[in-house]
Amino acid sequence: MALQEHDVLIIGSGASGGMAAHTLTKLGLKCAMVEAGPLVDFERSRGLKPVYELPYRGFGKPGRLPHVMQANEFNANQWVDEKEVPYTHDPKSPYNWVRVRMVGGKSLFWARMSFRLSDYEFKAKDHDGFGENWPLSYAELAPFYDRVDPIFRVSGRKEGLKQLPDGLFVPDESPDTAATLRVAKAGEPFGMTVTKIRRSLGTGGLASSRNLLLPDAMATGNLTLVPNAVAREISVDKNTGKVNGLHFIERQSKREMHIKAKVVVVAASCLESTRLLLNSKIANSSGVLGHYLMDQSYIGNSVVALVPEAKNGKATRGMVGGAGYIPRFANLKSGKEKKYIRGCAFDFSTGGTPDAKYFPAWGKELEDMQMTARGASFSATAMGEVLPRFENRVQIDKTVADAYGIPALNFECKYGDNELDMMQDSVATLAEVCRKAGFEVIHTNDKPFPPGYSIHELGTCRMGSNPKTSVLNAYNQSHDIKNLFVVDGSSFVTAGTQNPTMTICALAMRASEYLADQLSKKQL
Amino acid sequence: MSYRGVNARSGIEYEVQSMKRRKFFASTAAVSAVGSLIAQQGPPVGPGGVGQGGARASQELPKLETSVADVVGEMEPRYFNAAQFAALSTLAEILAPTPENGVGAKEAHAAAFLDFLIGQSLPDRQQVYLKGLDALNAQAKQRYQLAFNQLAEAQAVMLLEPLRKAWTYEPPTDPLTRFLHEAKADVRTATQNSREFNTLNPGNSRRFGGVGLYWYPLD
Repeated sequence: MALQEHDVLIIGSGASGGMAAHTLTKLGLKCAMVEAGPLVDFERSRGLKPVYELPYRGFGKPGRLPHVMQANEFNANQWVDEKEVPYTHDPKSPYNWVRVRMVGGKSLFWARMSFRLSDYEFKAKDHDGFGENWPLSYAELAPFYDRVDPIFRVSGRKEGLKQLPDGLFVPDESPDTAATLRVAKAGEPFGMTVTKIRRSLGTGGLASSRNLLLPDAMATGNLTLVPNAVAREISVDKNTGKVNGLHFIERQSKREMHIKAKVVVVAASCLESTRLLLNSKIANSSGVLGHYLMDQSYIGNSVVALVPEAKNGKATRGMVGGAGYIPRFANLKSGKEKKYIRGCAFDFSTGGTPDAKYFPAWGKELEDMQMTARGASFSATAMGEVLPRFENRVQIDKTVADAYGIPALNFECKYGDNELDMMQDSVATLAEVCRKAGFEVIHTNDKPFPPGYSIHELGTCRMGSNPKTSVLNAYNQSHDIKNLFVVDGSSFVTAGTQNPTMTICALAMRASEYLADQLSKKQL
Repeated sequence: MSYRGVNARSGIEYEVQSMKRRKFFASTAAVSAVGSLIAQQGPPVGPGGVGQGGARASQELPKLETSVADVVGEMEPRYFNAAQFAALSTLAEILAPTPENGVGAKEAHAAAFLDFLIGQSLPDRQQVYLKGLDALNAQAKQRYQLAFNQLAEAQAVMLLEPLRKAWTYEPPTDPLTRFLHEAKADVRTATQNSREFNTLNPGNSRRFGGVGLYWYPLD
């Protein structure tokens, strides 16, 4: 019996692939989805254990995941094994590429922070003259955000901020704590505003492609899901120049396979998608594939402070607790108010206890200091916009291959003066705000974690109006190959400070509807 | 019920999803214990099978209680030399002293555990410890003509003054300062994540020696 040729092959099952499947199958297209990792049964794959039963007392096996600062001995097996799927970089310029290979991808583990980009990002060049605009505006994407929000059940509070457009929220009516209000008031002279965290509630505590997108797609009867299928190379019809399928490797047996499709949607996560295109040697007439790598420069615990009134166990209800978000507050007027362009956002929490390292003591004295500070902390994560620069890039390292024989990625990526100046100024500003709010600042750090740490890698397959300077058009469609789409974060033109998942989903939905329309008109 | 993972926020962030923990634990324990034995020995023969004791044999394997190595044995330090290990042991007991009726680094065998951990670690981390311990002994010798483990506590703590400097994200360039800051964190973790600490503090969270959600290797 001849194999069915699918209308669309979707490579990857995370947020972008899931949204593509959700959209395309409902429009009646027969889709196949390949995912490099397994379909994980949580009941079989996870179990409660005491830390002292772990071989390394929770420290983790030394050297196992040197680039994954998020890894610990409990969760080490959820991340991609760096020896199985290696990558390379200059030791002096590390890049932390953090990956998950399971059905659902990283959407199984994300923090569910759910923000929209604004025209400060879509039209960034218009604002400050640097880089390129996106080939679409917020107004064009807003209707798709409006359809993504209810699927993910994004909670939030309408704030009316131009730099952080409101969504269709499940209303968050919880009151701000006194500590949050103090930060808000002290931050006003610096242009800061404090909002509620905007977070996808999902269902059952999970807001993933795994439970919000793929089940609906499966229910249409139009989706064939194939886990354990590692993409090697997209195949091209030599007569037409169009893509016609994918060479892949069955993960457990390592059998070499091929699947046919009329259209290919690449949604393998930002850098795996670009790696696949580079290894396939397609879609790069512009020469910019792999370039303009961005993420958001993160500093966890950039400012750690104590709320004096809450020390010694004196916190009362409503004094501290919960989390808040400070959207970008710099360069919102002319775009060039600071010595750097763009800006930094923060999220913060109050009411915890600072780590022992922040206290200059040891032994009993340290225990006493921590006890005094218990429940009184303020800590903030800084999230700075990284500029799109040609020289920050990935390319194929022909000397290294993964366990499947697929050539690895090589990274060349550094933060520049703009990022470093931005973080220095932003952290200093927040520290000053904390002091004006009456907090005791006990630690500041303005040195970003290595690139990649945020797990918000973006760019390298960017969209644009000009085929000479971009890989994709405004509908995530390859300029070079009309039946090839790339719908994940690799398509971003600017990074912004906002967590990108909602934008990725909105773009994937929009691209998928365009794809279906074009396919029905036989334009692909 | 939702369950927050260990790195709940600060950039990476995840919350793992709902499941009644008791059910979770019971089901995974059954799979790992029973499943592995069956795989080795083949499926039990059903009722009436040759050599079986009737229906009982086909039901389930008897549960056997087991212990971990630490219950019956002590760690044997093999990585640091004698002088380095003696200094580390003394330092650990100063950094995490035994509280009244509690568990400190001594009871948790933190120094022996760190000997194992650092012995397994990458060279960069090993050098931090090796240089730091040697520097500690060298300073003790220079100031008091004794090894660090031979100092009175009042003398020893004088050498820990670098810990009065604020912790910084970028490691200090001075080898002793860098080592002391790392040792402070490591000794504390090795102590609080020990069986001994957890036995005495059964209500603690994962961060302090309690129970956490473990991901088994994927198929």
